[in-house]
Amino acid sequence: MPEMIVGKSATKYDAFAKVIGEAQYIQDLTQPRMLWGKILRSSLPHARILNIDTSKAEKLLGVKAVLTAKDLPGRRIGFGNDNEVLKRNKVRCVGDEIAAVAAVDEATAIEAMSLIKVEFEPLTAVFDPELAMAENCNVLVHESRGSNLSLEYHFETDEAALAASLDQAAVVLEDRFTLPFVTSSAMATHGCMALYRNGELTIWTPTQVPFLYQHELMMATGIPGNRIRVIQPTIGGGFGAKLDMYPYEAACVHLSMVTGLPVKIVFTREEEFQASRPRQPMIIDLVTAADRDGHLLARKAKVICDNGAYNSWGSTTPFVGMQTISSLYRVPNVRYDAQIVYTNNPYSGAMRGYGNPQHTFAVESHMDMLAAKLGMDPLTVRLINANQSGDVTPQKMKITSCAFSETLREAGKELGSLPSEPGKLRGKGIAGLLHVGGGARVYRSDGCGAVVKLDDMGRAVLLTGATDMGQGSDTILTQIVAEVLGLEIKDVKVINNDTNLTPWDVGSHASRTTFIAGNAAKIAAEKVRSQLITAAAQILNANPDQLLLRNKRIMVEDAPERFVDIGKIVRSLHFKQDGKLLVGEAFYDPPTEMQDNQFLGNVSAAYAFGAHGVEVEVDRATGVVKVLKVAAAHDVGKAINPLAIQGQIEGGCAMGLGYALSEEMKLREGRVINANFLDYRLLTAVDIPEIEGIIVESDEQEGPFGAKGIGEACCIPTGAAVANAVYAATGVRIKELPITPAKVLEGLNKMRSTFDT
Amino acid sequence: MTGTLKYETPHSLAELWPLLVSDRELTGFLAGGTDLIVKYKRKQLNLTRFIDLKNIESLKGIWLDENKNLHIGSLTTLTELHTHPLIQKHAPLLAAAARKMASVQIRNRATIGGNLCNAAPSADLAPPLLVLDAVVKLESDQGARELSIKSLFTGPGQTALKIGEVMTEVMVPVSEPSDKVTYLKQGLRQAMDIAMAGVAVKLNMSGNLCQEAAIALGAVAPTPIRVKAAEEWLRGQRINEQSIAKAAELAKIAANPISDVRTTADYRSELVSALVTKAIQECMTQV
Ligand SMILES: Cc1cc2nc3c(=O)[nH]c(=O)nc-3n(C[C@H](O)[C@H](O)[C@H](O)COP(=O)(O)OP(=O)(O)OC[C@H]3O[C@@H](n4cnc5c(N)ncnc54)[C@H](O)[C@@H]3O)c2cc1C
Repeated sequence: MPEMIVGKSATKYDAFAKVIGEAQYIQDLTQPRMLWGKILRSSLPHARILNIDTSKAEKLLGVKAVLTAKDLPGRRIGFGNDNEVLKRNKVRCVGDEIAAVAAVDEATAIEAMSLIKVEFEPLTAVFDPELAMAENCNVLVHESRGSNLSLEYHFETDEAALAASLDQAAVVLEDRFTLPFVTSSAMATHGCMALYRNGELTIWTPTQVPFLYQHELMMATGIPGNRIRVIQPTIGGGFGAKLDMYPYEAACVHLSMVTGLPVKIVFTREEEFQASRPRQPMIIDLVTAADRDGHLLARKAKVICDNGAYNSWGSTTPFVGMQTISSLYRVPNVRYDAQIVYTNNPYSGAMRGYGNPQHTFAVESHMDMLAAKLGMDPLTVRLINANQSGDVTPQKMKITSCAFSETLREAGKELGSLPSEPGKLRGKGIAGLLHVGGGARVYRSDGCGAVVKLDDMGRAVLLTGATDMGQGSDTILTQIVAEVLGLEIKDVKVINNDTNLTPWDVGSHASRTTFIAGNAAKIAAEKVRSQLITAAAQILNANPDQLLLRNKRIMVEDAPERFVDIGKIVRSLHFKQDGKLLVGEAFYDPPTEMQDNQFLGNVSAAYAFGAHGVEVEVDRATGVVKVLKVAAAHDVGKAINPLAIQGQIEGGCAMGLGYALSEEMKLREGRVINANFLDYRLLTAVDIPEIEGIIVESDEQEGPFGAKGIGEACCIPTGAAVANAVYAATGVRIKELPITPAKVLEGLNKMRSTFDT
Repeated sequence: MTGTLKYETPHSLAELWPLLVSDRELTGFLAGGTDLIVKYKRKQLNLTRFIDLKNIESLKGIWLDENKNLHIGSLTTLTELHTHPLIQKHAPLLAAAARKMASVQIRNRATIGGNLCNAAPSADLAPPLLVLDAVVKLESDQGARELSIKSLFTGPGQTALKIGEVMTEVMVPVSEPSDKVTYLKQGLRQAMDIAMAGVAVKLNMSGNLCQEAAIALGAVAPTPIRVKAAEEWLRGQRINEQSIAKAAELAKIAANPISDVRTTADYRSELVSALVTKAIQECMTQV
């Protein structure tokens, strides 16, 4: 039966509220007698705290509370418990939380901060992860650990076979790729509002993971989890930076506990740069080996991640990056080593792609270099190695639906150097990607709950655990419920922002929401549907199999004049003795497994594939790279909402192009020196080229209506595709992002001088 | 935040002067505020008072005098600069440069006076005004004086304005249709960016022979500068690949760039020669 709503473009659920300024972000929220909180942050990257004198601040008129570590229970927080809400003895990065202030207004809170005197003993700091790991490094970010190594990840296939394949290989490439600090620059900065009253905490916060957050906040504050209610306002962008529970949030809770009043803390843009979680910089030493026909034989990667001062969820990104090394293209022999290294830099976290953009930059640059070395064209070398449906990768990932080759062909038309006007060089490059597309079992559960209730006016309400942080999941979920129940999209409302109301969910990450929450909503709606059909069959005196749900009615398939309104069916169930409610619930947890301690296991129920083809024009004289066009082909399983996918693709490409060409958070001694949007160069509307989104459908059997995830996938290969396009145009290979005009010109000049001599 | 900030809004220069009897050093003149307020919020300025100039009508307006000088009030916004018919006709270079600055919102507020008095080495209006031989008018309670724009900039963020002096007007000799002019700005993106380097060129040709040349650079020295050596070299030359290359080389030598958060000194030097070359070439395509 053809779908009526799924598969068709629909306006974003929240578009109108956002366009007219009605959406309520944390910045907009307020409460009677609300206090303003502020965090006093360290100005030094590494120092012992000798003394904190808050006496003057406490005396300031309008100040209601000043807290330092000595006022808190001293619980450790963060992934690996290496962090504190307020730092007691030592600060480890610029921006570290030292004191928290609550006052009647923001200006007073700011003034109070300036009255707090902190005596520091500055310590030598380390900002370079390689130096931090060096034998002779005498700086320890966390003394108790004995070294600056936070975590290590290791995966390998058979060692002897790997060695043999390297010996046999016709080509062995070995290169270092370097990736900078970038930050997601969400339009809405971080912020939360806490109200602790009668032993119950309500916290309004734009978290991407409300239920995990509830748990983290319990661990941080000691308030029992069943006394914590998390309410999410409209989220103005998450991108992974809102996966962590931040120290300031626990501090805000404590401020409310001691004052008995609601307290709100909102980040300034400078705080957002310095103290939210950027994407981690990586140094990737990659070895790629292939036979003379271009078949991959082996891949080896050594990765050093700059963790910054503490662990966040971002410390686990090698988990995803490793999959790219082991499983993007068929490669039988693999070795992967990653070190997560503490430094006195801001601590890095998850950001769209979760380590994958970095690893894909290395792998896909190498694919191109391999093609060049073998005199092959960049598309062929990819096609002959491309993953196919039915493959099981070295990490035991089971590839189900897979249209990778098709996306490569779509994005890879007319690659290489292209004709151009004098003074300019044109070229087109390509890069592919692999990402989880059917959830990611990184916890014991990868589930999401959904409840669909249908009321007597024929309106459906979906209670879902899934968080919409702007990516558009609310739209997709309403489409799914409307489709199943024969309603219009506007007859379906979503409630998804209050842990008191919504069923449990792991959170919005890993591009999992359409797939996981979509399945849950679909199953819940189907349960309502079958109850409806049973009731309608009685009313219409028809066989349930003959009934069709369409346009808010249930009708007999070949006799559409025999119908009953859905609202009427619901009413008929309510207004009778022993009536019933029309409610369906579901908990969908995908058929996947957690990886074992050797990193083997099928973590996702489906995998997303895609490829970006990027055309650039390089100015010979200035080295300036202008992107002319991006062709972004994505295997999405099934496009539930093509417009939403185009939106994701455009946003992802814009983010990917910024990563490729202009974005870099620059640090001096751990301090962000371009903490504003004039000097942190996000690309603007006029810089963004034509982006052609090409939707390829592979009908994923496990996905809702065949769909897979797309959210992160669309920003992953762009950087590599740009680098490959610059190479195609100029012959200059840039192995370090961003690809600034200065780097390109240096490369061009080097080529000219070798050409001259 | 320390202390309070006073805010005054005089409606004429006559109302302004008495306000400057005290606290002159701690006073900031507020035009569009797109530099002043940003710097103040970053605590780069130690000020206790803003005097808003925006209500002083005599600082507004654009007109042409009988000696073919364009008079541009210091409060003229960048939007007015690039849309005003008189500017488009008589100083097209200035109109084009203004269009390359910031964003629509900023251009609606930011003023020519603010851009010059802020005196950033990268100020985009400076190189065009330098090659156009603009003159600025400065006034104080002591009277008015005129200053060649070449003498205005004295260092990064520093001008020849005396404390208490206000820039009232920018005077620009009208460009003749035969003048070949261009301003090239290179940032890292195409809008909302501060130049890594900017180059303005004005050529007067007689056939293929260069009669007069003016070349100015922005963002590559402590102040925007004219490049005398390159101008002198071009004067009387045929414009061809060699003469352009030599001019570009001379400009590169004259530049004295620094490395900063935007790019490196080396790259800025390279940009100077690349942009001077392009700018001259572009001038030559104008008929
Ligand atoms: C996002 C953004 C983008 C920008 N992009 C660009 C760009 O592309 N190119 C560029 O060159 N600049 C750019 N700027 C800088 C700024 O917008 C310009 O320099 C602008 O022209 C300043 O004008 P204003 O009227 O806002 O000056 P204000 O901020 O009001 O004043 C600047 C300084 O000049 C003084 N001043 C102003 N008027 C007078 C006067 N009549 N007499 C004496 N002193 C005076 C003030 O006291 C202050 O010290 C940008 C700024 C921002 C925030």
